[in-house]
Amino acid sequence: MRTILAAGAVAILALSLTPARLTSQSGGAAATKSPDLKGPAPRLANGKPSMTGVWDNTRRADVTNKAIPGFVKELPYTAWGKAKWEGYDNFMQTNGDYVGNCLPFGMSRSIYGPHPLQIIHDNDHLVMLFEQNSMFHIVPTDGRPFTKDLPPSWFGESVGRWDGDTLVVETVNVNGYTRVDTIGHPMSARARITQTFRRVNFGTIEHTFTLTDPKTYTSPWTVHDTWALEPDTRLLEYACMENNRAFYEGRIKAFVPPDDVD
Amino acid sequence: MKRFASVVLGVALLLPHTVIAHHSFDAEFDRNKPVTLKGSVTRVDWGNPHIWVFMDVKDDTGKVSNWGVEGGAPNALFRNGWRKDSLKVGDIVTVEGFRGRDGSQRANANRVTLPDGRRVFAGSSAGGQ
Repeated sequence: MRTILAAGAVAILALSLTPARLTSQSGGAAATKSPDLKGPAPRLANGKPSMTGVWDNTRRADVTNKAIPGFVKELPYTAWGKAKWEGYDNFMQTNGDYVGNCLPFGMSRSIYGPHPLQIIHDNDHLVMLFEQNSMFHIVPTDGRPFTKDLPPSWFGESVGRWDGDTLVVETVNVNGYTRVDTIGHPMSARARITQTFRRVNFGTIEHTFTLTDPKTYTSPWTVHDTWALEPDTRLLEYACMENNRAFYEGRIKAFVPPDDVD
Repeated sequence: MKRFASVVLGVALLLPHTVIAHHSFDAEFDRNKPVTLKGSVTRVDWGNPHIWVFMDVKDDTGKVSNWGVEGGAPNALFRNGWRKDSLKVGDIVTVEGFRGRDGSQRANANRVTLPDGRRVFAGSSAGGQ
């Protein structure tokens, strides 16, 4: 009995210490001093690198923009993809504009949007908190497979796994309604997004975004990013419909889902 | 206020094409229709996805009309030094921006010249393409 009580006390102590340790590693509001951004990557309880932090994710309105390092040199369109790109209604008067309707941005436009991203990471989950529209996305990293028969969704479903110290996140089952970026590069519901996260030091994540979408592109392509930790930044609420005059005064039309993205 | 001066001026000078767009600029505004508006602020709606500033503007004939001017996302403006009370009712300001596609009295603000003469970036999404 004594042994059991002692073991229980140790377990409770361990549980109570774990959040405190993660908080101090995050460099967040509870931190008493600025973190050493060049120092070693913080570690999870399981010894893997923690991606926790508020990140200055690279803004890419156009993934082919040569002014931003890590861009894609050329997008290898299929005939369908080329037609979707060339037929894109930049003025968004035909099908409406999903983001102008305050609908979700999906993974790529959230990652490459103008607002910061916070990651909260433990042994079994990586949680992405996007300031854009106050959206969240949960990535289980506990070895579970994708869910069978799950209806498609804006962000799709993600699972994560480790390749050494690199976290690999795979996302499938997207609804195909979102574009890759603000300028409107196409993607379909057959897209598979592969992201890698490597925390090279306390203040830096090297991130890659690979799109495999055989309906839209003849081969996969990859964007490379370097994200800086923003230890002094707090995410703010983004209530998108609060002041969306362009939509509720009728200048942006109601979104009509495309019917050819499957 | 000191932060506003230094940070916003820095943004205006260094990042003229900063994109703080939540939707495509072209859906609502026309980059080929630049406009400069000088007038008195009548209302400020500080909310996502874009702030809106309303102002009374006098035309060449002396007729006063109320314009609605869209700025950037308040979250981004806040980080660039703007505050909810940076523009107040009654302030005389000059807005440089782009007119709405529909020809109405709406514009997207690129720069705002404040009552004290500072010319600051207003979060226009005109660089979104």
